[in-house]
Amino acid sequence: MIKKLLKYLLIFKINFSASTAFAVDIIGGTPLIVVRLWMLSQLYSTLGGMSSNGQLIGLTVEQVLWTIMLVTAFTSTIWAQRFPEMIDEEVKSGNLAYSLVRPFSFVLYHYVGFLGRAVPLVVANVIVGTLAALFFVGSINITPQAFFGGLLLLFLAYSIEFLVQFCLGLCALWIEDTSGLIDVYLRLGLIIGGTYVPLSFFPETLRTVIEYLPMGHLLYQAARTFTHFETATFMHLLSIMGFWFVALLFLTTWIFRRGIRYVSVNGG
Amino acid sequence: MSSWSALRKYSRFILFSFGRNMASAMEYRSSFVIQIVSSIFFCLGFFAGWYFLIGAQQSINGWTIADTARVFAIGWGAIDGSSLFFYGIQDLSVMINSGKLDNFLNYPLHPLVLIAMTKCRPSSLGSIPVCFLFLFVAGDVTLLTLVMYIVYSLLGMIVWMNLLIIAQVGAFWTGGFDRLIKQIMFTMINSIYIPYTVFSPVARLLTKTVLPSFFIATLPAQLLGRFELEGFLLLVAFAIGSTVLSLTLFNAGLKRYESGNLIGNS
Repeated sequence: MIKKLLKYLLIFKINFSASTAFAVDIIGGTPLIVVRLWMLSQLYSTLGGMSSNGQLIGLTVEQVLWTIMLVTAFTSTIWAQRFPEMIDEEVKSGNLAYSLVRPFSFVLYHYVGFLGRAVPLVVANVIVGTLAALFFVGSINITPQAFFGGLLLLFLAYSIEFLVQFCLGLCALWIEDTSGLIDVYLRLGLIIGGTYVPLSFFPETLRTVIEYLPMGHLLYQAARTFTHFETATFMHLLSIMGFWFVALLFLTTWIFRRGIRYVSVNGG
Repeated sequence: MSSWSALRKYSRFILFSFGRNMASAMEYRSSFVIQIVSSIFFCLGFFAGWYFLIGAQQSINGWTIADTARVFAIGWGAIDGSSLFFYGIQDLSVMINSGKLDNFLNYPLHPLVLIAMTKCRPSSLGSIPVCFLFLFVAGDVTLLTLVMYIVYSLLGMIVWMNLLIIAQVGAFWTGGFDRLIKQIMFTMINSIYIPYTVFSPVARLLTKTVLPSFFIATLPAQLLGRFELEGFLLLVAFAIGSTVLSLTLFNAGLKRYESGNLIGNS
């Protein structure tokens, strides 16, 4: 058991190191979060100034901008990885056949790798984003409850994102080119992901429907929990994400088992 | 070779390559259709998000939802127009980093054109018609504004393409540039949609210099709403200037390029 854990820990470490290999790539990406936050801070500060109580849909301007900063930091790591394309490519190139005979679980190997690549980027983005948010809008109060609650939702959100992306990539076994599906998935994230317009600004009915979806808004919900913790909302989101995590775990296993029947190994 | 015959040669190559790229994209029919349909819904959904934000206020410092619709129409027309024909240019930094330019240096055409024509983005076939819908949302649609809309979108497209090249040729001098390029693209696209009237003087200067998104959509949208000769000349001058700069930088970078010896392998 410990040997198995060590094996996956090493896979995590390899991907972590690979992700940090190009320092210019990691550091170079972060100042642009600053620029984005700076520009959006001007929009939301103007909107806050137009509101009678200085608040926007029950949130202070600071909370809105910290949420945008966090959700940008989280989502940019997802976009940077191009994970579904990796799986798609592995299927199309036939490398999947080689991966299957290696002494590790194919799903776990990619899950650990996904997290390993994401962690350094998230840390770098959040550190720089935090400094920028402090500079542009000032601090906000993040309680220990909000911090640990947000962290738990973030972990669940990343895990669900991985499972959804993994399923999308595996679809290459049936439809050959998954770029259309990946496009839909990424674009949904842009609309309801809260990187431009936080979900709180959407009409309530639409917002309620979106909350039950297993994609697009999950990282936003984690970011919002960090900045505006409410026990009832947190429990609600935890139950939805918990449900989707378990459901997608079964779905992924099922799709993977069905999918590998289509894999044929040719020698040479 | 006269400039006329060169233009004919390039036009024929672009049309031929575009046809082949589209045929290649249509090979996977389900994916092709999904991309186009999702693109339509994305454009409408994304605009709806801004509508919820801006439309609720009636006006933000004089900026209305009609202004946003105009910016969306031109911004998407320019960016997705370039993606539809010249999507390959977005891989320029990857090709430089991995030494894959070799194949493009042996033909009697400029390598940038060859690289740009390596692939197309069929989803733009869905977003471009929606741009015309946004134009109707903005109002004042006449034959003249339609013609001017196409002219401004083409100018915006030229500027966008040049900025993509300028941002990516940095890979000739420093490796591992890919993520930075994506971030620059996102930031530039981001600033297009934010109402220009909320920007401070420093931010306005930034959108005209370091991240010149002003010339991709904001200025053309302003001109579409109200024509000013001075603004139009500025836009044309920027399009020409950015073209000269991007070509100069690319040619200078090409001298530093180290072959990946991949001829015949790609």
